[in-house]
Amino acid sequence: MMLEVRDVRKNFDGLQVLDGISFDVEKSDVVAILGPSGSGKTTLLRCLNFLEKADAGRIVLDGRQADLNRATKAEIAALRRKTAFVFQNFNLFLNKTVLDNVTLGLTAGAGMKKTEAREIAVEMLEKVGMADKIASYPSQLSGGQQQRVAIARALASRPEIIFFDEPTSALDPELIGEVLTVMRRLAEEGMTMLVVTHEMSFARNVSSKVLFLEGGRITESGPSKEFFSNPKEERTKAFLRSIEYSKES
Amino acid sequence: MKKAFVILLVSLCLLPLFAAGSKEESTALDTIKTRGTLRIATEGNWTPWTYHDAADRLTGFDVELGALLAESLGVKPEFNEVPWESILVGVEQNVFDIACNGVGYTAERAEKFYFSDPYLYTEAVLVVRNDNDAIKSLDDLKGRKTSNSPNSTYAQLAENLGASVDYVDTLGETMMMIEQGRVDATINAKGSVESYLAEHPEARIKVVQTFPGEPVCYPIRKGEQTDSLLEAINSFLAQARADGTLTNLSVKYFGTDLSKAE
Amino acid sequence: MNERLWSILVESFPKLLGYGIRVTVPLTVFSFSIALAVALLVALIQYAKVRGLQQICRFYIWITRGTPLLVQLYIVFFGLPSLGIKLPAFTAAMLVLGFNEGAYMSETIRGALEGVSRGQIEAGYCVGLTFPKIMWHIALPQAFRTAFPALGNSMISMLKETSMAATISVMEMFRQAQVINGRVYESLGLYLEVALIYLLFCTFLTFLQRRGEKRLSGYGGKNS
Repeated sequence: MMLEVRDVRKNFDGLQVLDGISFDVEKSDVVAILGPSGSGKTTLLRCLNFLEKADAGRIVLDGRQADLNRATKAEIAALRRKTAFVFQNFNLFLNKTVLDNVTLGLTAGAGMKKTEAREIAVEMLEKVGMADKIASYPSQLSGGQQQRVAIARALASRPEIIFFDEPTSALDPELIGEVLTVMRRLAEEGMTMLVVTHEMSFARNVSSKVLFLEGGRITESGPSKEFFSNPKEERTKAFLRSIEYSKES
Repeated sequence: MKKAFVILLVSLCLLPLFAAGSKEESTALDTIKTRGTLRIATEGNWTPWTYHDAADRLTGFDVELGALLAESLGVKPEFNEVPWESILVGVEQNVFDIACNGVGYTAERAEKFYFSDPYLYTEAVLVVRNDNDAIKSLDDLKGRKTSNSPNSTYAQLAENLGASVDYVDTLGETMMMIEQGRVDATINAKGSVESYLAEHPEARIKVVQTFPGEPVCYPIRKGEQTDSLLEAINSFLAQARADGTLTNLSVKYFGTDLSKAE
Repeated sequence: MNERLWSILVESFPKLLGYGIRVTVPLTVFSFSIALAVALLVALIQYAKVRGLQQICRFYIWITRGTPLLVQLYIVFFGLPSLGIKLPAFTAAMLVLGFNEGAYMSETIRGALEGVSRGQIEAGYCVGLTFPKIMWHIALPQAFRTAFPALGNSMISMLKETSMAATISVMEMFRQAQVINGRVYESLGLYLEVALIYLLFCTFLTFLQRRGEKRLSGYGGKNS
């Protein structure tokens, strides 16, 4: 068991955004988290990596336990060493080159030697197809290129699991493909991934499992093939229908 | 580079302002008599020369004597209360006819102004903190620190004696410098120091030496047009000296007759 | 212009310039260093919302920005001795100018820090950086770029404010002009002359500031 999530709750200004979320993620699972806007998908992901403070909840990550509300700084740091996060807005370090963006966490964070960090960085950048841009700055790159660098940055720390928060939502349509391609390759190589997304093709074809979040709860979950071909809940069916409808139009 | 050039040009253009003031056809004395007033520059905050009494009326040695001077010329006195820095400039620029403000004669000032005959001989004092026994006279000032305001003529004297001078803006601050031990002494006008001590009896300072200061004269504009004015002023002073007016006023405001040279 | 005035100006110029270089400039540099250090510290404390210290910082900013520089100089130089703290004039001027401008500069830096996108900070945490490291590697460099023009203006302001040190007996350029004037009575000429020297200094600083702004004009731009 890679990740156990139990009973996550979060209240924002009187609105119960997360109302007791529990699920499991196995090693090499690629979990797509779907649901209508405002259903708390992003909040869930951010709580799992302590970017938001949940009101309640527990996780066990690769054997390590933590309380989502009361974890200490040291516990959080320890857990973050095993995870990586890819943001909707890339969040690359604007004052650093592509190479430095990837190595900073290794050198300043983990104390690695510069040469060693550079080797790893170049390897990851090659993996995402951005090795030729190591001297460029984020402002010189397209959205798709920036997101691929962000993924390389995530990979460099050799995480056990990578959280993706709507990784393609901020991209122009023609740039989405290059990012999804990289993510697909990662999935095929066995990386454990938790992906909040609206990209149904990815959810259907690449993810192994789907969680459907609505009104702060998981209303349906299961293997992705089943989810898409045989949804059980009425709300899920309605959602899938609306996706199809908007796709057609 | 271009900017610097423009700046230089602008400042050069302003320099002609320093050129001598307006030219007159008639003499200064005639103008004053025609106008009917003598424009007097005075500070108004320097006891006992020129100050405001309890009823907030302008009074003082120079104010009374100045009024008598105007009377002797057959005109009314018009007192203009301005800060010290404006006084001599104002006289030079013909904004005022004369300064009645205990102006001391110095050779440098005489380059720019006509000075009347002396009408008072001030004394200067050497002041130290009341627990200071090391400095007893001007000879002890070598290598010491003193304090004055930038316009003081005594600062030059201190430097000539081998002391260094820290500059502050008021007499009160000079006394603070001494009391706080930031400087060792100050050379200042006797009248000013005595006034200060009268107002601040708790001040921890003492006078260790008294010596003759500068003669006090009236400064007026230099030039041909003011020759007759200078004559008129000097004859007034001679009269005031002869009939005892100078002595009486001096005793009234300074407690002693300072009108005679020692 | 008459000969006397001209010779006075010619004689006084090197004297005034000398005080400018020996006193005005060093006073500006030292005060600015203090101001920068104070500003960074105060800005970071407020940005990180350190409990207790944050309130102290706000109090300090409130007091310093709410009272005139001249009054502050007098309090420190003439007032503190009655509490047993007697600072030499130059030191007092340096500290007051530094802490005074530091308050304004801290707001500049704080604003610039807050302008660095929150997302970059979060990404920093996610790759394993601590708050100090995030500040050092990511936030402060970017904030500094944004704040640079305003900080440059602060330095130029400070150069002119050093003239206030005269009131607490520091013999600097303006006071020297006053002393010379006390003997020769050429107010307009002398004060224009000293103003010109201040102008020269400030123009030079402005030139440096523009150069600096060009150099810092964006990451990956043609000037980086």
